[in-house]
Amino acid sequence: MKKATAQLLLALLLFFGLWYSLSLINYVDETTGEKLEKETEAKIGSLLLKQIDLKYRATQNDSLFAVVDDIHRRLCEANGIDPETIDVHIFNSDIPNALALPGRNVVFFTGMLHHTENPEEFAGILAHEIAHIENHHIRDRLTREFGLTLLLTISGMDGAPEVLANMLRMISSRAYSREQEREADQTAAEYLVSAEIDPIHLANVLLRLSGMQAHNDQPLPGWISTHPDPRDRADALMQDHEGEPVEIRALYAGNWKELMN
Amino acid sequence: MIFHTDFAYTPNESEREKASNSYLMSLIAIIAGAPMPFVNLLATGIFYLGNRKGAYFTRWHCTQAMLSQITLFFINAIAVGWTLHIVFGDGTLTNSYIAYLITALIIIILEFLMTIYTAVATRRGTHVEWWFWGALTNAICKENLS
Repeated sequence: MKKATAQLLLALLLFFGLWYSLSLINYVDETTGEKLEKETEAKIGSLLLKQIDLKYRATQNDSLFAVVDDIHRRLCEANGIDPETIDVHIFNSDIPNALALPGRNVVFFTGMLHHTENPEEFAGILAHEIAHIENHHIRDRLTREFGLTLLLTISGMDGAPEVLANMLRMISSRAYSREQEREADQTAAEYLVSAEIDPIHLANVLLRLSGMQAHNDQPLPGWISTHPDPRDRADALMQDHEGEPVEIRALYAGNWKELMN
Repeated sequence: MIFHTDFAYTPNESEREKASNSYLMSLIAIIAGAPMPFVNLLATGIFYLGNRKGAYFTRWHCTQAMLSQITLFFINAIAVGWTLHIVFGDGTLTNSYIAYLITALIIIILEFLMTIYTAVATRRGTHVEWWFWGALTNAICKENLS
């Protein structure tokens, strides 16, 4: 048995030695893998945008889009994110929702914008969606839900509308875990502070939207109803940034509500 | 990797044929079982059970063939599991994964060649002991059944 043990140890040593030595060779060019993921995401993102575009019209409100673009640039530039890599789309719909799509796209429905009281609240929601993108939440969720093979297959063709509709439904409803939402809130608050926007506005919009149901017996807006308890999240945000001095710079001098119309 | 040693006695024609068949069994099973790691183990396991009370020479080689297949089973199972995790789960393609596949492939090819060689050699009555598996078989497979 001693002989067998000695030979086993030597065999194991050879096995792991060979495995380790072979793993030192760079077979997978990481940039190739990342490139493939980015291309897949971008293709799926554009297919999903097409699906939305078939149902809703993109907004023609140029003055609103100019302000949104300013806010988007300020948030990105303050946080070392190239604003050109993230596209913000606004669609005309009463749906009170905003969502991050694969391929670094953020979609807002005008219904969501109407629920914001000021541009800072809009910035809070935008920062939250950018945080989902930057933290790769959308990619993780899609891979887990649909599998890499299906994603690669869909991205390789222009069809599969049923799968895309299913994917869109998932993204606009139960996209993220509680932990991912919490992480996106924290990252969003950091983005807002860096961009000289008080993160309290994100907490405010969360609280106000969640309070709408309680007071007016209205259904919860989509963006809130699909997220974990907004009151808890607002409390966490306020606790995290309580007493923290925030240098504030106004986002828009005009009337935000008028801009909506 | 392979040693020619003297066996306790000279095996007869029937023993040699059965011993050789135990390797042929694993050879066929390697081809069939490449994507399903349990097939080769199952084939040699069944053959071993059928011959566990046979002549010493037959038993010895059935045991060596089965032990080598158990090792391959674990190596293959890890490769298949890891692949499924990458394809259907959230695993990513890494250098370690590809290195493991190459290592497993080298072992499978070596084992394949050793199996062919040993099947031919045992058919001629030559006793062949493999690295580690031969020593392990000597430790667990005794001449007297009682």
